[in-house]
Amino acid sequence: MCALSHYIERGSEGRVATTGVSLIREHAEGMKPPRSLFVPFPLGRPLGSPDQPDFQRDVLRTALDLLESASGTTLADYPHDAPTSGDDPWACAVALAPPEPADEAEVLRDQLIGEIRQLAPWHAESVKRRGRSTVGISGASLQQVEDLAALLADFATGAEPSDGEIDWNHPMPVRLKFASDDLRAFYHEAVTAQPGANYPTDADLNDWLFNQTLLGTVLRQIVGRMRESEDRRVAGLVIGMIPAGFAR
Amino acid sequence: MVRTSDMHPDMAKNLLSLPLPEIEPQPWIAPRPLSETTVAIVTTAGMHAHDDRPFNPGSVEYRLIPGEIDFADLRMSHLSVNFDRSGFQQDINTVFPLERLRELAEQGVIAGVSRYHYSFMGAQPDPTRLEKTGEEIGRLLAEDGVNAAFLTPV
Repeated sequence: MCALSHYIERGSEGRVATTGVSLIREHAEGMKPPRSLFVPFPLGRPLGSPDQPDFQRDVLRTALDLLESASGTTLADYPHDAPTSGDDPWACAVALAPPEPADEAEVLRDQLIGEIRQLAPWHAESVKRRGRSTVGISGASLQQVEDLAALLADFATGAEPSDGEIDWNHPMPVRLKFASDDLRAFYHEAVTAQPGANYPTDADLNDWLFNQTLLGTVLRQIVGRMRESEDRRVAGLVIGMIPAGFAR
Repeated sequence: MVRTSDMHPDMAKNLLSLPLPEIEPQPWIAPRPLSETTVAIVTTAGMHAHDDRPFNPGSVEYRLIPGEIDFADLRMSHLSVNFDRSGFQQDINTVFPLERLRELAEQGVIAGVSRYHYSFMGAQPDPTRLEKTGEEIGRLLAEDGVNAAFLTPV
């Protein structure tokens, strides 16, 4: 990000000034973009928090103001933490009670589909309320989410993964990563559409998904198989499957 | 408050081990007043339109995001798993504040919003590989009458 600031200004030959936010202060200190606002927010939330338009606008405005106020390379610090919805612990309102994962691909597939169907009403509510879904980077449509479970169950149990009906955006094995991301997006969108007194943080969601759902258990099984793989392309995917601290 | 010292040690170690190449600073650009400035967003969140090509690991090319894009058409195919996606899933402005930028234009704080915005894949192991495409969008933004770019990571 910091490098791009330099390259954009250079390419524009003095016609486009850059400003922006930085989530890693050490990177901005080292790369010295012309104008940057360090924001003390979690990675993935450069504008602070979802559904907080006043706060987001203030972050944006503070970074844009550097265009007028800075007269030389400037790294400013945004003075506020991202808003949270309260100190009460978050909990998923739907008790999923995940079963012991089966060893047979077809049974595990049905178990995963069962879990997906428990969340489906809330995902439908998410789509209705937000008017969109971010599911789809694997190539699967929303109607094909259950087919993603088949791919993951096959790989987790050592069965030969079938292509199914999905018009995949990626070949194997990279497909596994994006199928996993799509299912995680489905779970996150569903659970954050449930009513509740507060919103989950990223840590809440990871703890829930990787410690309290069958999908989390299956993803850890997949990572275990990837680690044992002699195919370097497969082993190289491990870092893209489960966030640090949740792989066990 | 979130700083690298608050992150999981493996993640912090990885982030702080990334190379930070020295790039020769450009002559200082003295921008015009904000109220006369048209702004574009440049993101490294690996975002793209639903019907555009997803990013592959190590991609250094960019994707064009039209200014009038419907948020329902936006997707994210960033490789890294070590950042929060739930903010983006709930409200795309958490990552890509296009609606907030439009509001600042309506309020007259800025002159306008660019016709095009640009998206790259982040977590680049060697940021100097973005030199060619970075300079390219600098030229494109300038030719399109854009005066400032707001850069946002993920």
